[in-house]
Amino acid sequence: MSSSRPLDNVNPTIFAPTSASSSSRRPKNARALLWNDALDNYELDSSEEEREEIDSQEIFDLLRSITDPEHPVSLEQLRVVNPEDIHVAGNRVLVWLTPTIPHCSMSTLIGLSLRVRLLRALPPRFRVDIRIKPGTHQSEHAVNKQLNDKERVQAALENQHLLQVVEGCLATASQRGMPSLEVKAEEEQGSKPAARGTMPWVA
Amino acid sequence: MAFSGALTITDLDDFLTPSQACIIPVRGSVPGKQDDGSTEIQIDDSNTYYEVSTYPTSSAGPSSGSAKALGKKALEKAEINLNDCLACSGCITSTESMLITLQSHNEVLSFISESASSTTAVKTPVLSISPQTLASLSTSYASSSSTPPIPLLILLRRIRYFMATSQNGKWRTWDTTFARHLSLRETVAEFQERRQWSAKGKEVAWDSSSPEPGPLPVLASACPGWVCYAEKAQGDMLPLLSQTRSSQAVMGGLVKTWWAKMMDLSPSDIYHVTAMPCYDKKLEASRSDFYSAAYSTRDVDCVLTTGELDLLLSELGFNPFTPSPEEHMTELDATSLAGSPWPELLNHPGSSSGSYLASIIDLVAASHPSPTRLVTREIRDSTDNVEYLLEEVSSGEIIFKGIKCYGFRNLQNLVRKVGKETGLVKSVRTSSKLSAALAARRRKSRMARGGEITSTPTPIDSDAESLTVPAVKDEKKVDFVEVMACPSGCVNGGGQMKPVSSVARKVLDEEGYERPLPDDGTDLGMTVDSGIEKLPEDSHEGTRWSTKDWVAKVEAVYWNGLPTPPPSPKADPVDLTVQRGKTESEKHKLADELAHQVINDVTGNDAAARWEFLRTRFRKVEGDVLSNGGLTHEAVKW
Amino acid sequence: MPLLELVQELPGHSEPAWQVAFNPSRPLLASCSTDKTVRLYSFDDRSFSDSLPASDDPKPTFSLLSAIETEHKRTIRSVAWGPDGRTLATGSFDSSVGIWEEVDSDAPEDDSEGVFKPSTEIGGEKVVSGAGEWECVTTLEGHESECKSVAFSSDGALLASCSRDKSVWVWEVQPDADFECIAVMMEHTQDVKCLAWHPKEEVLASASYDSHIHLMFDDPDGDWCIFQKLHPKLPSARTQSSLPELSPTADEKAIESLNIPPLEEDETVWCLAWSPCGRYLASGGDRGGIRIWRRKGNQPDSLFEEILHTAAHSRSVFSLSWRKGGYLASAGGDGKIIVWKTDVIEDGDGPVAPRLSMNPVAAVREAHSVDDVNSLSWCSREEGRGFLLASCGDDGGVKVWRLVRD
Repeated sequence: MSSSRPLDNVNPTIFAPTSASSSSRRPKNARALLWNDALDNYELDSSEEEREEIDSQEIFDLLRSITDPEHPVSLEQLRVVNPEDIHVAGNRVLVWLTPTIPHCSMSTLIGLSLRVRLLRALPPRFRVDIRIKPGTHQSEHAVNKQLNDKERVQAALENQHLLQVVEGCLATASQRGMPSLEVKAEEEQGSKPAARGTMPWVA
Repeated sequence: MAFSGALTITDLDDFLTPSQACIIPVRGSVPGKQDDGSTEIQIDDSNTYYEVSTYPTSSAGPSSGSAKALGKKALEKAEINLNDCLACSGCITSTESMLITLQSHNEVLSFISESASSTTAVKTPVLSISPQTLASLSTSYASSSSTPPIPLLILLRRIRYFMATSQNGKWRTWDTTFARHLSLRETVAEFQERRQWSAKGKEVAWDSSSPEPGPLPVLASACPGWVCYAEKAQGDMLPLLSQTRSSQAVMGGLVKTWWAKMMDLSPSDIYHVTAMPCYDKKLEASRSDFYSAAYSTRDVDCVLTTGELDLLLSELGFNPFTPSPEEHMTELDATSLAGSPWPELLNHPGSSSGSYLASIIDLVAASHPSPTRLVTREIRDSTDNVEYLLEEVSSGEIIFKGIKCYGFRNLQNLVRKVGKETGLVKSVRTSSKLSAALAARRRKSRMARGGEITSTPTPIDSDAESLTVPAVKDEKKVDFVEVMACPSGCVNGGGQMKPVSSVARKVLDEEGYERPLPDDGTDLGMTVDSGIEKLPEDSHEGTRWSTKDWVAKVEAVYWNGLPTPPPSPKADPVDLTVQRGKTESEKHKLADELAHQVINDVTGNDAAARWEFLRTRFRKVEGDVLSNGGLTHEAVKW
Repeated sequence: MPLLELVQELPGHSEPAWQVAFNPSRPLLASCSTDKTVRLYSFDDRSFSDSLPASDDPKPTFSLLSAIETEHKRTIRSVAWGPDGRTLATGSFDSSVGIWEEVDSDAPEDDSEGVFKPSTEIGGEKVVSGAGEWECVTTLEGHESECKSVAFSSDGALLASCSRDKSVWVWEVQPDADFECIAVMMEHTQDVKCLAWHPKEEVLASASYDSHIHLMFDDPDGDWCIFQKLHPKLPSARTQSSLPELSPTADEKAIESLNIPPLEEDETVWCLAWSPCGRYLASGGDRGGIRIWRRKGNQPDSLFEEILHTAAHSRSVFSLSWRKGGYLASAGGDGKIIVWKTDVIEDGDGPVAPRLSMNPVAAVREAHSVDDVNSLSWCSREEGRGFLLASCGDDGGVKVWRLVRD
């Protein structure tokens, strides 16, 4: 039975992912790799790690493996987020988001997922601005405004149904472009690997 | 698609915003597994889906070639129709496009053109026009041409004559007031039932095949906007809703059941279009109670708003000022195209929204053994919120309390008030602490007012229970409420014609806000430069659709434009305006007789059949079934 | 120059705190939060002077009186006191408005046995404790989605609420905790973020995501209606200030290199504050500016005009509070609290309308550490008393500050 509305973008272009990580600081700081995924650790270390510099590659790693709400592929594979579209200065982060098609109604949802991911993963001193890449969405200004309204975001996160969808997108986020690592991390925690390939809400 | 100027999303939503997801996928039945044999889904050329068993079923003989014998079962297509949406708290208000395509004047136009080109037998078209629609059209025609309003009966007959031409498809055009007559009679009957039933205290079993009467007060249910709101947001109120069909719904039954039988037509051979003051009538027509599975047809096939009827008529080339040959006839042949099988434009005094409350008051006054007096009280000086108290003259005792409650704001207070009186809505958490607090407050305020506590002071702890009942306890409870969602009622419905004059004078500024043009057209300087927009006069909630003056005009035309000819056999043309009212009671008598006959013809003496013909049901819409919903646009909106 | 000094950091909420409100007639402070509680703090304020206190004047002491576990199902976004200080309204993202009253505080003493009571005598005046149990006496339903602001009118006869459903409702307060809806105005095209009643009259202002401010009153010829829709027009003027707190931090300088484009859509109006005299209305915008609107006449529906637009914060202005003496406090997403001194400039006797000047006189950075400051409230309990300012932020914290002379 036709349980869902037609997909906005039925046949998106999927790009090969880049190498797992090109961040120069990754090898020397394995702990940062699991930053969000061990938020408690972060809390413990926050004093010692007070002003750890975070670069755009680090932000990209946090975002690249988030799953598209409509397709079982990552935002990196869809080139929704790209390393060169992420800018960091001081405590400010600017992320340009590129919807796959100009009328994608999922843009606010993808944007919300990015925001939630960074909200959870980054130290609280960071302020994040998310913008739709100019010219890539027919209502980019409206989407931008909504994505940067903290009250709307807070309310959205109290909407259980929406949150469930966001969590679905974020289930793969900790892979950071390195699926095997994620599985290992999951195994350590004794939980099942996130089902990849199918999203529960897509028929 | 060309919409009437009236159509905006806010017109459609009646203050309800869509909730999250389309829940239809969740509610779709999952067929029970009969065996564990594996199956697969196949699609044939005609796009039919089949569930095919990969093992031959035991009953299938080798010689059998039918799909069934091969274990091939056609799957039912999941279809989401308007009716599903009606029963849903979800997205109906945002899917106006569905409403528009299913029930639009274009749909009617294409019916007409298809009929004209078709060689085979076509459906018999019927157009039923509400009196509020006629009043709105008449007012609009008068304003745009600066002529006096066309009397409603004349206008009805001109439309009838025009639509009956073979070029337009030989329509039968009637008004809905006889249907309203039936609806009012049934409303009165239902009120009596419920009143007596409440008085009996339910110790007697309900001895009938029809459903048990509901409680008091009775809340009128003719307004589909209110019904929609009640089903979605006020589920606890539903037992109070009058179960009597609205005039549109009765009209549907009249046309497709009684008249069809009389004309020896199958209900499905009739294409029934109504013209209504309100968009939500489209929703009402789509309710499952008004669908006949036996004939696969709806009582009303298509609902047009007044604005859409106007579009239809103008696209067909109708000129309201062209007299028709039969417009002054006093009696018309019931079966001819020019005639009407029932009395035309019956006048029901009371309100321009159907006179439901007035009918009940008449009943109660007439059936009370001693003389009564009607006292009205406008709450907060609002003509949309009026209490009607029927007092026994001798004792001063209030024997009936009715409320006229129009508009969303008054409706909110009604819901709170009725909820409290009946205890159906638990708005106040009644803990003993609270009652003590309330009691203390009340005591204090009484003291402050001069301390005239005549009764014995109530101990706070022992009698907390009775204290939680608000002060309305000693007041007469409400018996009947005429509820309408629109301020000023149906004459101000969302589908009515817009004011002609004020639309022309307004322009949209650069931000899309309406702003009146200054009279001289030049002195905009100050207000524009400072970014200040002085609003047009009609920005009140009470005049949501149009200006107050405009609504008052339509209201006046509604009442004054209802001249009815005497039903005398004389064929002489009569001066309609002077004859008005003279024979109204005779007309009503005829209408009553016909009503009897109709009900008898349709239902015999069967109570259950009668119930189905004249009543309907309401269902609470559960909103919280979203857990496994599909990924719909609504689901991810935030 | 005065200074803004921290008086006390109060035991705050476990999740972001959205609004603080000083009780207008009793020494109580309320705060609300995503953690679905309302916290009440009592304090003893011994300052009576109309002039700024000195830093070494005794500071009032605040203590947590109660943390009311409400039955709201989502964030409590807004909290407001009735003018008599005995009624509290809460507006929640669960779309309802809660009305709270203290259970009979005049009841015999034994009723409140065992309940902590703060000092009861201050300056010979009996202080109503507020320590009684606060009960939800009624819930106002009707909004379709998140309620974002609630506010009582100056005499407490009316309560207004607004929501993401774009509507503004006015309720009449009736005896026995009953409320009657007397107006529903649906003319904003987006969320309504904030409501503010005129300090003396029944004039209501609403601010919205749609970038407009609507002004409403009870039309003597009809219903409640909007008599003016304000839309900001003035370009923002840079603030000249020697306050070290307002000079850009290294971080803020670094951000300039990011070149974050401003949102193209017209900015959300987040907050409103009336001047105590009622002639001016301040609004705070998403881009960090404060605008001042002047009422052009003395009629209830006298029109307003925009007279000032000052760049104030580097991110959204989330809250404004205006105190007698012309002190306007602002706070926002940049974590700063700024106190501005506003003065009316009379330009001789000509037809030129009086203008307003506003200059920052005190500020703190990182008022709530790295988090946004969501709300401010001056204590205006009694004219001239204290210079206390409460704030709350995304860290859940509630702080009290005092403006002192240097």
